[in-house]
Amino acid sequence: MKKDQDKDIVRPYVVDGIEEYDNPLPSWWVGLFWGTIVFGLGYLLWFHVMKKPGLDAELTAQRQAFEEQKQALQAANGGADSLEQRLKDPKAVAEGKAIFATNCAACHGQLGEGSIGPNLTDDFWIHGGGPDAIVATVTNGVPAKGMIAWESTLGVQNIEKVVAYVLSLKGSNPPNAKAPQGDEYKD
Amino acid sequence: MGQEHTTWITYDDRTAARFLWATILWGIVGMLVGAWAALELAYWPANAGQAWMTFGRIRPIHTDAMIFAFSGNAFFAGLYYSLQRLCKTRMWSDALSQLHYWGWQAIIAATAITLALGYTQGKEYAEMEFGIDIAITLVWVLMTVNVFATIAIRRVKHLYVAIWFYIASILTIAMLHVVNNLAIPVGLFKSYSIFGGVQDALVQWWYGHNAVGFLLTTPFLGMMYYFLPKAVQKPVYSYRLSILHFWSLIFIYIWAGPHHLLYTSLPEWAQSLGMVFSLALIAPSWGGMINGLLTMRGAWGRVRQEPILKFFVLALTFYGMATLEGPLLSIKSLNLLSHYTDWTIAHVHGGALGWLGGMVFAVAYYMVPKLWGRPLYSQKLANIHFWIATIGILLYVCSMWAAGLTEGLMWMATTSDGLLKYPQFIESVLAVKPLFWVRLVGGTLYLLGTVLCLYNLVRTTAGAEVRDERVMIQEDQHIPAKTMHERLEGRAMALAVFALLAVIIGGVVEFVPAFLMETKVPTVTSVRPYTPLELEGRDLYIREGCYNCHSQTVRMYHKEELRYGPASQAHEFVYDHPFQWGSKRTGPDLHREGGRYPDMWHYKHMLDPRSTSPGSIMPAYPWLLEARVDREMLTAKVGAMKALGVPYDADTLKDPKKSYGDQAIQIVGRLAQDGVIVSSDSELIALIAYLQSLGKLETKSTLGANNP
Ligand code: HEC
Ligand code: HEC
Repeated sequence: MKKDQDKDIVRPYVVDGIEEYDNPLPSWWVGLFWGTIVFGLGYLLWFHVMKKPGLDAELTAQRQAFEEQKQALQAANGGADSLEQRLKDPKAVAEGKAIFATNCAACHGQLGEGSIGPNLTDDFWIHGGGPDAIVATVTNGVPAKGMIAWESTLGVQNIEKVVAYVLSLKGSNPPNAKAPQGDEYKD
Repeated sequence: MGQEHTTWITYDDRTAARFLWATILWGIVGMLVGAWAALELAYWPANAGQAWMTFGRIRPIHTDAMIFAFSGNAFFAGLYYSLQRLCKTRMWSDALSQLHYWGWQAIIAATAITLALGYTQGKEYAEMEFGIDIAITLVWVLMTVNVFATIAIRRVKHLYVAIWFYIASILTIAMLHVVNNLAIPVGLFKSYSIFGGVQDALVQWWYGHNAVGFLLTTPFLGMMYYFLPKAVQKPVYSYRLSILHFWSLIFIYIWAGPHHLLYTSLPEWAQSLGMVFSLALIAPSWGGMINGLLTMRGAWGRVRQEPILKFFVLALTFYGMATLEGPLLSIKSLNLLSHYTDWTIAHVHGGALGWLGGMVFAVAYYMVPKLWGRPLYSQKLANIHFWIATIGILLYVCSMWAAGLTEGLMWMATTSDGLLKYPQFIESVLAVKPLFWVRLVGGTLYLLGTVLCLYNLVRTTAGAEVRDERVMIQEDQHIPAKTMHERLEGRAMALAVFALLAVIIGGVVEFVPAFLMETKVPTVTSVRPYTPLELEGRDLYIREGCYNCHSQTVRMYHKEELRYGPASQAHEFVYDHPFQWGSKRTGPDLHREGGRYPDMWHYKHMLDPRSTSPGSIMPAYPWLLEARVDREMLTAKVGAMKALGVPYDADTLKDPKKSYGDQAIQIVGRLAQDGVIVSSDSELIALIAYLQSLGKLETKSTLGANNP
C-alpha cells in the first residue's frame, strides 16, 4: 500500500460526531518504537546474560582507585619538612581557619571554645595533645563519641591545615570556654 | 434513516459539572499548599512554628491533592461528560454517580485533615491511612460498577478509543491502590505496610510511577481523544496509531517503576528492566502526542484566538517533553546525577502543570459553555490565563532544572585529590536557595492563572443552571467488524480483561523473583530489629514527614560513600515497614546517620537546626521536646511488627515498656552530662534513638535486645 492511498480515509465508525482517519504511522515513530525495544533487549542481553552485572564490581574498583590515590598523596605529603614545621606554617594556619569554620565550629565553637565537642584551646586533651595525636584524632575521629573521622572528607593536607589552626588557638582563652576534659598535655 | 428507531435520552450533566467545580476549587487549594511548601523551602519560618504546617506535613497534602483531587476530579468530570455521549446512554445509576461524587470529596477532605494532623503511612502519594484507603477502594468500586454498567447498556456497539483508556485507567488504579496499601492496622489511625525494605521499595515505586501513568496520563489521553477532535472539529489523525500506542503504553508503563531505585540495593536486573522499559516508553507516549498534534492539522490558524486550543497545544507539548525527559532520566548514568535532586521536581511539574493542567483547563473551557449553554464570559481573560500559566511553568521548570543540576554537580564534585569538593551538604542548599524563590514566583503565577480561570467560569455560569442535555438517539448502524481489534472494540469485557492482563504482567515479572530472592537474604542472624524506643522514633519520623526531605539509602557509588558512608545493603532494611528511602535530598541522606553525631548534636539540631548548621532550611521541631510518647501503644506496635515477621523476643513482646525505658534513660543520661535535662518520655528522645540506630542494625547480638 502506498502512503497516498491511505491518507485521510475516514473510518466508518462515528460516535458523537467524532471521526477517525486511519493514517499510516509516521516511519520515524515506528523506527523509534522498535529501536528502543531492540536497544532494551540488547542491553539486557549484554549486561545480564553475556556479562556479569556490574554495580558491585564498579564500586569495588572505585574504592580501590580511591585508596591508591590516597596512599600516593600520603606518601607525597609534606616533602622534606617535618610535621612540626608544617604545622607552624602561617599559610597553613590561615587556610585551616576557613576549614575549621565550615567543618568544626558547629561542634567546637567558632573560637574552639567547645560546645558539643570539647574545648580545643586549653591544655587538656582526651586523646592526647601532641601534634601526631591530634592529627590522628581528626583523621580517624572518635566514632563512638560523635567525633567524625575526617580522613575521607578533608584529606591529609587539609587535616594538617586545620590542626595547624587548632594548635594556634592554644591559650587563646575564648569567652564561654567549656570546662577542661581529659589529661593535661605539656610539650 | 428509519425514524422508528429513535429514542430520546437525557444525559446526567450535573455530575460532570460538579466534578468540574471540585477540580478547580481543590486545584486552587492544592496549588496554594504547594506554593506555601515552596515558600517554606526558601524561607523556613513560613511554617509559623506549627507542627501541622511544617514542610514534611504539607508536601504530602499538596501532592495528594494534585493527584487525587485536581487530577482525580478532572478525570471524573471528563469521564461523566464523554462516556455518556460515547455510549449514547445516561449513566447507569444516578445514585451511584452521586455517591461517587460526595464520597470522593469526603475522601479528599479527610485526607487533607488527617495528613495535617500527622496520620500518614509514610509512603509517597499513598500517604492516607488505611481507613481512607478503604474508603477510596469502596468509592472506586462504586464508580467502576457504574461505569461498566453504563458501558454495558450502551447504544453504540463500538467502543471508541477514549473508553479504552478509561477502562485501563480505572482497573489499573484499583490494582495499584489495593496492593500498595496492604497494611496491618495498629489502632485507628496507624498502620504498618505489610511490605518491608527492598520489597516495599519495589511495590511503592511500582505504585508511584504508575499512579502518574494511570491517574495523570491515561485518563487524560482518553479525554484528549474525546475533547480534542470535538474542539478542533477534525477527525482523529490515525486510528492505527491509537491502537498501537494504547496497548504499548499500558503494557510498558507498568515495568518502569524501578527507575526510581537505580543504584540502590534493589536487585540489579530489576533496575535494568526499569531503565530499558522507560526508554521503550518514549515512542508509545509520543504516539499520543503526535496523534493529538496531527489531529490539529489545518486548525493551527485558530490557535491564535482560541484559548481551548492553546491549552491543548501547551498540554501536548509538555507531554512530549516530559515523556522524553523521563526516559532520559532513567538512564543509569544520568540518573546518578539527577536523582534525589530538584531536577525530578522540574520533571514532575513539567508534566503536572504543563500536560495535566493544560488538559484540565482546555477541557474546562470547552465543557462549561456546553454545560451551561452560554458562551465563555471572556476569551481574553482565558488567553491571559494561558500566558500567565505558561510563564509560570517556564519559571518553575527552568529554576528547578538549574537547581537540580547545581545540586547534582556539587554533590558529585571532587578535587584533584579525589575528595569531595563540597563536603558539607549545606553548601549546595545555600547555592540553590535563590532558585527556590524563583520557583515560588513561577508557582504563584500558575496559581493566579487558575484563580482567573475560576473567576471566568463563575462569571460564565452566574445565574444560569446546568441543563442536562436531551438528545435524540438513532439506532446504532450495524457495521460488521473487519479486524480482530474492531471485534475487540465491540466487547467491553474482553477489552477490559486484555487491558488488565497487559498491566498485570509487568508487576508479576518484577515482584515474584524479587520477593523470592528476599527470603535468601541472611537477615535473622545479622540484623536486629528496631528496639521499641527506636520504633517509636521511627513512627515520629514518619509522622513528621522527614522522608519528604531526606533519603535513607546510600547508592552504590563511591562518591556517595565519601559523603555518607558505606553503600546501603538490602538486608539492612528488612524490618523497615514501610521503607523510608525517600525520593529527594533537600537535606542529606540519613541512612548512615547513626553514631555520626553525639546525642547532644541531635538535641540542638532538632530544636534549632540553625544552631548546628548555619543557613539550614530544615524546620525546627521544638514541640517534640514537650510532647510525650504514649507508651501504652508499644505492645500493639511491637505485636504488629512481630506479625509481619520481625523477630522480637518474648521479653520485648511482653513488656516493650521496660526496654523502652532502659534505653531512653541512657540517652537522657548522656544529655544530662552535657547539661540538659529531658524527660525520658519526650518524643525527642525516641527520635534521637531512631536517628542513632540508622545504619547500625547489623549485629550478631541477641535479637530484640537493648542495643543502643
Ligand atoms: C559533630 C560534632 C563534631 C564536629 C563537626 C567536629 N568534632 Fe571534634 N569532637 C567532637 C566530639 C564529641 C569530641 C569528643 C570525643 C570524645 O569525647 O572522645 C571531639 C574531639 C575532638 C578532638 C580531640 C579533643 C581531645 O580532647 O582529645 C579534636 C582535636 C577535634 N575534635 C577536632 C576537630 C576538628 C579539627 C574538627 C573539624 C575538622 C572537628 N573536630 C569537628 C565533635 C565534633
Ligand atoms: C525542609 C526539608 C527538611 C525537613 C522536613 C527535615 N529536614 Fe533534616 N535536614 C534538612 C537540611 C537542608 C539539612 C542539612 C542542614 C542541616 O544540618 O540542618 C538537614 C539535616 C538533618 C540532619 C543532619 C544530617 C547530617 O548528617 O548532617 C538530621 C539528623 C536531620 N536533618 C533529621 C531530620 C528529621 C528527623 C526530620 C523530621 C523530623 C527532618 N530532618 C526534617 C532538611 C529537612
